[in-house]
Amino acid sequence: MISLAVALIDDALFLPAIVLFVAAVSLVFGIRYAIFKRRNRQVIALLEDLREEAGGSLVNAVTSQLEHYKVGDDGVPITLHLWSERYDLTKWMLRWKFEVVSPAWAGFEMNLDWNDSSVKSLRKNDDFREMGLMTIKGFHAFIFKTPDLYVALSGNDIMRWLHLYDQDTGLSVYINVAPFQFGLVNLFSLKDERLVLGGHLPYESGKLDETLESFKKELESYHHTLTAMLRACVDYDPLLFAKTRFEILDKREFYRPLQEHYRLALELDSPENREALTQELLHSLHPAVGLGVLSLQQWRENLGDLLNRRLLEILCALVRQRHSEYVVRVNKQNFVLTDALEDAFLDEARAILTRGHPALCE
Amino acid sequence: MRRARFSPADIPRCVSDFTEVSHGIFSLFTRWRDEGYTEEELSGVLSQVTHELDNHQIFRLFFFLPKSSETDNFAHPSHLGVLESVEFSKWQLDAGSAFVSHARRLAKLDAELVQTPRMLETMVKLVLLYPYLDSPGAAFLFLKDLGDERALPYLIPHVEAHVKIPELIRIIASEDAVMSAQGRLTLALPADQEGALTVANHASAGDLMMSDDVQEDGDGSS
Repeated sequence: MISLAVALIDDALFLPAIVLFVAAVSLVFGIRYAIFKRRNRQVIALLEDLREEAGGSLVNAVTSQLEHYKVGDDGVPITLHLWSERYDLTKWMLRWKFEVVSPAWAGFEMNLDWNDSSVKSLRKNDDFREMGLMTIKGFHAFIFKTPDLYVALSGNDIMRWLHLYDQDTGLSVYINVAPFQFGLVNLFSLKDERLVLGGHLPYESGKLDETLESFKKELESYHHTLTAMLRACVDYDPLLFAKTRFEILDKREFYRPLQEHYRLALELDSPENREALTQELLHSLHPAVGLGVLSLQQWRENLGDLLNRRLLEILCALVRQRHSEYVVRVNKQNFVLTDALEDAFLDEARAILTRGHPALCE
Repeated sequence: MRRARFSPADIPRCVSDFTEVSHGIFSLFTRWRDEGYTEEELSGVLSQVTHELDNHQIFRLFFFLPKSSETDNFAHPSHLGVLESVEFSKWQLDAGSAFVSHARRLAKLDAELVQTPRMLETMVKLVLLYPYLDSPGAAFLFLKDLGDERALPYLIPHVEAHVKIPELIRIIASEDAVMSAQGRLTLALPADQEGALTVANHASAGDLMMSDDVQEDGDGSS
């Protein structure tokens, strides 16, 4: 080795070679730095536009960030980190992350969970309620912990809840659920009073401008998500949470989650409203909901008041449930069908009544 | 006043008043049987309403009809009237399968019961409606297992309509019967009439295969 080094030092070409090598390396790094500066300039241009509209202060770091700007009437200070990085030889990623810190979120927690192991462990907890629109194995679910309960919700589900919540406050909002559906949002968590919402947009080399433009179009939606989340937690009321979701769950025929929402509402509502909810379960909602929520005793006490049509509806639901047992579609079952429950309705349907029955006069 | 909420006599009223949920009443069959209603009463009422039921409800009907307190395979000759009253206009797997299953239960009581023209016609219709070519279908298997020459008049008119029909004719009768149905060979029956066997215009010599009976009688001509 030593003799080789001596030979190289002695070589007259050594010095020019070193110079050329250093120059080449400098050129490569120079070009990369120039590209980085250009990309960074484009990113910062977007942040400066935002600063003009919403205030805040720009931090010119590797992850360019606009700190503490405010949007909407709530004026909650938001920090946006925005940067671009190489993904592979031809692809780049525009990455973004919003952070909002607020005491309004004390007691709330939320995690984006990419497998259902956390849901499984939470199911062992007595306080856990699975209230999602749907539970799809392997599909990411949010574990949303409020001061009162745990719930597992799909990404779409929580977006819909926030959307519904804002509709209730009379605000016109636009929340685009597509980034959540397509996995472009991969960070949505709430812990220690800090809400983080983050994601990425892949793009091909040289197309940063277009990508920034796309991100800019979605900015309003993300801001709405953040502010809706804040409003939902500031005024958080588990009863309102349940009630705002009744309609959409019913429309989409998600009867098991709807049962859970009715159970929660029956626990928390006033006695008069509880009676009204019970009447809905007995007489108007899809029978699968009421059959999963009300006790056999409650049904027995009200069998005589069921109209003929309603009784037939319930018998149809029982038939479907019984058949689902035959074909072993356990996950499609909406309620536990016991012989006693079935007998109660069948006996009523062919009952020999001891009085004139209003149902017969309908 | 003592009255029943629903009895078999209420079925027509329920079907017309509460059409989409009327099949809920079928779950009462077992109860009614236990109370002493006869199968004839039940079948008589059901055969009046089947034309108002959709395929899903037809499936529910034949899901509950064989259920009694003792068995899930109950059948009674009077059920033939219910089966014969069913009209299939489009294919539905559950309804077709349940219909054929109940026909098989009746055939177990008496194989001749289900050989009525109406039943054979309905079975052929189910074969024609069956959309899959890679599996035989319940009605095909029914005719294959229980069908005989009496099914031919219902099969032959459809010989070109469905690939399964020639196959059934071949199983029930013979290759000649298939060719005859396809117009390649015309057989006039009874075979003792003169000119009982004639060759259709487009038949070639190789298409003709005379049966032993015809040759023995000496009535065949080509």
